[in-house]
Amino acid sequence: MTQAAPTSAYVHVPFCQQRCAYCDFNTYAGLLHLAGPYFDAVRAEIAAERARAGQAGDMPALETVYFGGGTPSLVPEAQLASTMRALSDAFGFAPGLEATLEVNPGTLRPGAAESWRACGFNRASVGVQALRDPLLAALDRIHTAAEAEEAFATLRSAGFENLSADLMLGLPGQTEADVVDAVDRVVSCGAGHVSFYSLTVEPGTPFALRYPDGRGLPGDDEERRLYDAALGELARNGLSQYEISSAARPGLRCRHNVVYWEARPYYGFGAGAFAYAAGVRRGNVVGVPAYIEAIGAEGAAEDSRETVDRAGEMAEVMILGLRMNDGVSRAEFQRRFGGTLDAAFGAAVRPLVAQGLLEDEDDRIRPTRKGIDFSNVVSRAFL
Amino acid sequence: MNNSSDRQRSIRNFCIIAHIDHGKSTLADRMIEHTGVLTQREMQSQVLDDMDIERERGITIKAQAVRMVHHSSDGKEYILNLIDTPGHVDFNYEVSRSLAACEGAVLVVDAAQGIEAQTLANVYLAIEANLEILPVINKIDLPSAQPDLVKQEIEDVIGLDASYAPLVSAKNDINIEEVLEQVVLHVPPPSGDEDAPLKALIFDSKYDTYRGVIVHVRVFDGAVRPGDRILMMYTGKDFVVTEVGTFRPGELLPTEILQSGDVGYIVASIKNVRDTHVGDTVTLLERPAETPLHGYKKVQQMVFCGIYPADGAKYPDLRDALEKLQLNDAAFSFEPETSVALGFGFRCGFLGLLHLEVIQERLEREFLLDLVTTAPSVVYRIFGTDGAMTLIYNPTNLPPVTEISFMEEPVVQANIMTPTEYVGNIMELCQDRRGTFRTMDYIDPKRVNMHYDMPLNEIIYDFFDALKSRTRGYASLDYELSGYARSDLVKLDIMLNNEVVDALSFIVHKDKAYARGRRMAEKLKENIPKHQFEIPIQACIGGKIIARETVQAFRKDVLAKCYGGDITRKKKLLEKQKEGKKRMRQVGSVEVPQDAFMSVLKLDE
Repeated sequence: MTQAAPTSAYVHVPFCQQRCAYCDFNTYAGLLHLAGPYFDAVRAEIAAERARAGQAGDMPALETVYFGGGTPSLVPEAQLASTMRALSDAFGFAPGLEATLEVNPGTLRPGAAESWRACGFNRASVGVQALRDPLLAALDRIHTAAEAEEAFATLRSAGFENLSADLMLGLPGQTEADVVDAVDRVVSCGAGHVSFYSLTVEPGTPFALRYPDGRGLPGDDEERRLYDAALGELARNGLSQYEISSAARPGLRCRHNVVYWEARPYYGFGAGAFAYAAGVRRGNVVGVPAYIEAIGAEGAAEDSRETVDRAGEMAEVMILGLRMNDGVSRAEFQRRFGGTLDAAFGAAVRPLVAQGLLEDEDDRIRPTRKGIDFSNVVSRAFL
Repeated sequence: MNNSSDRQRSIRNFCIIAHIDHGKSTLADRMIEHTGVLTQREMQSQVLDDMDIERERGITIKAQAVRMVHHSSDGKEYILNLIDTPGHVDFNYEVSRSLAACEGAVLVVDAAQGIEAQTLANVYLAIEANLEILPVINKIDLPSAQPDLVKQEIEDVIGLDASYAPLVSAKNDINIEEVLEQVVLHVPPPSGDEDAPLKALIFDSKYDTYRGVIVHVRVFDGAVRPGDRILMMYTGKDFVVTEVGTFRPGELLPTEILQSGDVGYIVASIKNVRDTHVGDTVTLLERPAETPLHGYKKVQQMVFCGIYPADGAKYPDLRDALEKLQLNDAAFSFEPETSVALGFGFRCGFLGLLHLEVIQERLEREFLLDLVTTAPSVVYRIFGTDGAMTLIYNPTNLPPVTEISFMEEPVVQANIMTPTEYVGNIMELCQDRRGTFRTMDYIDPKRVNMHYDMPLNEIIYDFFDALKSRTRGYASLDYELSGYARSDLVKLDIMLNNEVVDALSFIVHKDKAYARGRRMAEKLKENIPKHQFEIPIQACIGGKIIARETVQAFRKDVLAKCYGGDITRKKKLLEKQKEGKKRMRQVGSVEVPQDAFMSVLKLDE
């Protein structure tokens, strides 16, 4: 089964003003002086990808673009603009393009939001995390709660209508009232989409040192209470959950992320970025200088490569698809793979339904609330 | 008649007996080094213990033998055959056969620690075998060494003349020549009849992939050569000899003949180690001896447990491995059995708990098998209401109480040697383990030998560990099966999530059932990971619940983020978790880690 060419592109921006205490992403503080050569390399990678892909006109235009990080809002606007232009030149933008920029409220310079909007971004994902200053300080965030709320106003007045807020759950000292308050406030600031991430203590981060074995952090019971509080308050505000950590008003789901969860192809540009196309998932080298050098030398910076065969793709469709409340459609599965979902995974699905982790409703297999809490149990059944 | 020929007069066959840690293997190494069988460079520490497990645990499981040549101060050359003996109570019979192959024994006693129960048990065996005993005081260079006290103790306790006992340090190579000289002086030479029909004692056998079973023998009378047809007098099997020879450390040295007085090996295309019982007498088919050597006993397994492959698909591999191990160790047995919880496996019989552990470890290390082992059990006698007696090897097979008239359990005579200050602790422990006090002899003002009748099933669990911890390691234990006694026994079942797990059932004395059930439930609670649902753990007797614990449900197992490349990472993590699951056994709806089946044995920890 050959996949269609990607209509989504991810651009990684591995620069931060300072690292947050919980973060283990591929990002660096103090390397911003490399932004120039870095984005030159990203644009070169885009052009090279376009050249490999075939003749102009063969390519479907991009439906979604996502600049994530790191802190994309930290780098000079001109770099973002020329990279957007490079994408547009290479692949074209489809009407109704969703173009997301991740924004840290501590990096909003006067006029920046307007120039982001002008170069084509129409969706901003704001890293709020929490709206009580001691919580933010504990995360080593570079902004206050007030600055986060101001950022929404600035973005809205620059013309961003599609706004998302990232919140974190399970922080030390966080209460249900904190969560409810944060949800209410980001919604009233205009967020039509909220991502709410349960804190994961990653090895090697300052958090792993501060909270060895999770000591000092809310336990699972408490964390689920916070999660429930978030879901309830989001629903009350008209944002319904559509994925483990995502809720949105109707029509405002993040289309780019849905591409991941439907295991559809996407381009990935930049250091440590992943691309998935034609049954191959490739990862770029993670280091910024190494990436720049590899692109300069070879026009590519591939570091890892995983072939996803038909069976693997089927499994990923289930594993990722069942992260979403809508789950997986039997009809779509059959359209995509020829064979039926039940032939491939009936034996895996049935016990999960019996355990109350999945719901089987005519066309769709969906996770239950319990299936969301135990998503890994569901996933393991498809490996 | 050519009694004690010149040839035999230059032979000394002896063994070394010692308590674990008193330096038996090190002394053997030194003697080998001094007689020049091996150069220092060739010496691997403790050459006689050639199984990894033996070296790690510092114990001898299989007897080994080595032939040394000693140039004595009398100007003559002597052949010294050293037969190493197993050093654990599980292997008493093997010890007795090794001793029977010798004329003398070197008794190694630690200059700081003196005589221990294990030593004494082996000394008695040696005295029973009519061996000349040569005491050697080892570790004399330790600051805490008290050689004169130890000598006195040897004289008082064993009644041996210790005045000429060499004072040595095997570790630091002090006075080893003296030991060799004393062996020549005190160990009598063999005095077999070279012209009589062959009589050779099998004291060990080993399986070799290419040559079949290699039989280790001590020739008492007559001679054996390649081409001879030999007869095993107890098993009645006969074979044609293809090779005979003597032992060099780690290798075999073929010779033309083995004659009376010699210690060596016989190769005769023997396919099965079961045809070569330790203790059997080898003779010639054409000209057999009239009577076999006495002392033969069929080995008796005392401890049984279920061994299952962790991965059910590995059942044939486990069977192959057990068959291969049995080629080398006829002392354990196995029979197929099935368990509701564990599937297909084997009920295996062992000489004791150490023997069980050794076999289990060898299966895991040498055959790379992942095993689930069930609680060891002894063999119970069940007398039915119909008067019939049944032996129960597996607690699961216990008939319903209504069909049982009464039950009997095996009882051992246990001898515990201890410094006097621990007598109270030991009495408490033995009483707790249903022991019946017999007598207590004072070895010296500071040490006693306590004799108890104890049910074997109280000893096989963690008695030895409990004894060590209550006596700061000073007490030592020796026991021997003495018979069966009527006992008020019950079957204790464990239910996980309301289902009985057959592999966790065991038979226990009624008075101990409550405490054991409670500890077991607690221990399982520690070992069973959280599931999505609450898991009740219940211990029950005949449907009556006597203890309950609960494994709380866990609340979530979810990755908050999964974008782009995260899927690769997530899949790796999930694969790893799935591997971890393989180390679990699905018992009904509950996943039980393999260790849990074994950890419930160590209830004292």
